[in-house]
Amino acid sequence: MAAASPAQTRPRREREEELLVWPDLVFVEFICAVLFTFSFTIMSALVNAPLINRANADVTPNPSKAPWYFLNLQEMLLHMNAALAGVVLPTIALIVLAAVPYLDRSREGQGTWFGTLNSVRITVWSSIYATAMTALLILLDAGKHAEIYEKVTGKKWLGEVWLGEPRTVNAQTGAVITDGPPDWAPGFLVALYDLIFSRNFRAIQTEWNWSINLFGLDAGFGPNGQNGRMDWPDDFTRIPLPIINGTWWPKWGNDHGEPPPQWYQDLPDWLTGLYPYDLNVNLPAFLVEILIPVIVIVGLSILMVFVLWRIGWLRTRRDVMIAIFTAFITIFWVMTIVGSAFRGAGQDLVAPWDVPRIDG
Amino acid sequence: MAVGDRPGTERPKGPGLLGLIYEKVFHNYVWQSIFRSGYPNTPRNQMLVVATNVFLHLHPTRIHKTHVKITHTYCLGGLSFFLFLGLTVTGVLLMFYYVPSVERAYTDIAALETNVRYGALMRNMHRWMAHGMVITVLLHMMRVFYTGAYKPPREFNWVVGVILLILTLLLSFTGYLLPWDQLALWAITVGTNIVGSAPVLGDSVVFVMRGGFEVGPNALIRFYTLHVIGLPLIAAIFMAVHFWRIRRDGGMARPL
Ligand code: HEM
Repeated sequence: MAAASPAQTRPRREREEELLVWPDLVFVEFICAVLFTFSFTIMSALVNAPLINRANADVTPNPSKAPWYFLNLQEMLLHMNAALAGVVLPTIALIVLAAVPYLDRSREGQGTWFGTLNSVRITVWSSIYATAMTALLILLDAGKHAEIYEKVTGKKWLGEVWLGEPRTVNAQTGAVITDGPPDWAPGFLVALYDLIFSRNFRAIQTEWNWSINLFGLDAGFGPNGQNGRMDWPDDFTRIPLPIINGTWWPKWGNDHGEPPPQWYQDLPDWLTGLYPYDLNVNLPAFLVEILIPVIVIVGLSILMVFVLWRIGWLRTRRDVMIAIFTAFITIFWVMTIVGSAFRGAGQDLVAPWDVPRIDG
Repeated sequence: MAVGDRPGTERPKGPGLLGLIYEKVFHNYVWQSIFRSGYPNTPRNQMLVVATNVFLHLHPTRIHKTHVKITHTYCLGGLSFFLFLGLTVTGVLLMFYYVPSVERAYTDIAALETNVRYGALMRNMHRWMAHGMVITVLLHMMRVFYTGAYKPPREFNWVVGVILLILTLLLSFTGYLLPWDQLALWAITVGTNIVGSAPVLGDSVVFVMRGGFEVGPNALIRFYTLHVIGLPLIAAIFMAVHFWRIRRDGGMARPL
C-alpha cells in the first residue's frame, strides 16, 4: 500500500545521538520562557500601549491604517483592484502556502537548515530580487521617476517631453484646447506618447485622453456613447456583457432608458427582483486595476524562477519552493514596512519621519 | 527501599544532611501522591517525570541532539505557545475590568492606568505579547520552511500550522478593536473594508462581521466574544492537534 506519508521511514535512531528531554530540553525551554517573561515585563514597564482619543465615527484619522500585519494588504489596495488585492490574492497565497508540502513531496533536505545544494544562494537571490522589484513597483506607481525627472531637468514630465506643452483635449468633441499634436498625427498615436511619459499605470485610466472620429457611427458604451466619436476613457467605462448592439444590458446598466427585452420580462419576479449587479465592464479600470497588476505579478514571478533556472541553481522542486516562498515572505515584510513607515497622509509615499503620528 | 517508595523509583546513594532533606522532601507520602517518580536526578526518573507529567509529556522522553541545539528551532514554536499562555493569563486579568460596551470600553481601558494597580502593566504585556506572538509565529513558519520540516510525513502538520497562523492573526485583529479608541475603530474599519471588497459575498460577510453597516456596538460585542472565547478555544484545539502530530509524525524532522 502506498501510504501518502508513512510515519516510520527513518532508520532506528541511534541511542547515543539522543539526549534526555529532562534536563537537556526542558531546561532550555525554561530559560527561554524566563528570558521572554523578563523582557516582556521590562518592555511593558517602559513602553505604554497606545490609547488615543475615544472612537469617533465622524472623525477619520489621516492616514487610517489597519493593524501592522495587514498593512501589506492595505499597500496592495493602493495599486490594484480592491477585491484582487484584499481577497483574491491573499486567498490564493494562503491556499498555495498550505499546499507547499503537497507540491514538494521530496524528502530531500529535510530537517536541516538550507538542506539543498543551492538553497542559500537561492534564498539570498530571490529575497534581493523580490525586495528590488517590490520597491521599484511602489516607486513607479507613486510616480517617483517623474518627480526625479522634474527635479533634475526643471521640466514638466508629462507632455513637455514630446509635445512641448501639456496638451488638453475636449473629451466631448475631441478638439484640442491647448497646443495639440500635428494635424496629421492620429490622436491615438499621440496619446501613446503621452502614455509612455505618464506618471504611472493609473494614468491609463485617469490622465489619458484620446478621441477617434467615427463619422457618426454609434459605438460607445459610456455616458456619451452616442456622439459619433470613440473617446478614451469615457466610451469604455460601461461595456455591457454580453455585447448586444452595445446598448443594453437590462436593468444592469441600461443607459438609454430602453425597455428590457422580452425574455427578461418573462423571467420570474424573484429573479428580476434580485439586487441589480453591475455587470458592465469598466475597461480602463479593468486594465489598470486587474490586468496589468496580474501580468506584472505573474510575469515577475515567472521571470524570477526562469532566471534561477537558467543560472542552473534550481535542481529540484524544493529549490523552486524555496525561491517562491522566499519571494512571498520578502514581499510580505517589505510591504508591511512600507505600509507602516512610509505611508503618510492620504497614503502618500513619504519618508518615515513625515508619517504623521495619529493621536487624535 | 524506603517506606512509601513506589516500586521502580530510584534515588541517589549516600547518607548525610542533604540526603536526609532529600528523603524528607521528595520521598514522603504527599509528594509521591503528586509526582509518581522521584526527583529527576537519575536517567530513569528523568524519563519518568517527562512521561508521567501531563504538561511535560508533550515531549518525548529522549530527543535527538540536533533538536536541542537552540539554532535548530530558535524555540520559536515553543515561544509562540508560551506567548499564547501568557496572553491567556493577562487576558483573563484584563477581563476583570473590561466591559465590552461602547459606553464603557474606552473608559475601562483608560482606567487601567489610573485606577488599577499594575493595570497598565497588564495591558501593556497583553498588547506587546500579542504583537510578539504574530512575529514569533511568522518566524516559526519560516524556520519550519527553511529546515524543510514540512516534508513527509509532516505535510498535514504544516496545514495545521497555516490554520494556526490565520487564527493568530484573527485573534490579534479582534483584540485590536476592544480599546475602542480612534486607532481601534479605524483600523477595524479599514480591515473589514478589505474583506468587504470580496466579489459577490463581500458585503454580506462584512455585515455579519460588523453586525451592521459600520463598526459599532454590535461589532464590539462580536469581536469581544470571538476574542475572549471563540478564537482562543479553536486555537487551543488546533495547537493540541499540532503538538500531537509532532509526536505522531515521529518527533521533529531530521535528515534521512
Ligand atoms: C500558534 C501558532 C503555532 C504554535 C504555538 C506552534 C508550535 C509549535 C511547536 C512548539 C513546535 C515544536 C518545534 C518548534 O518549536 O519549532 C512546532 C513544530 C512545527 N510547526 Fe508549529 N506552531 C505554530 C504555528 C505553525 C505554523 C504557522 C506552521 C507552518 C505553516 C507550523 C508548522 C510546524 C511544523 C511543520 C512543525 C514540525 C517541525 C519539525 O518537525 O521540525 N506551525 N510548532
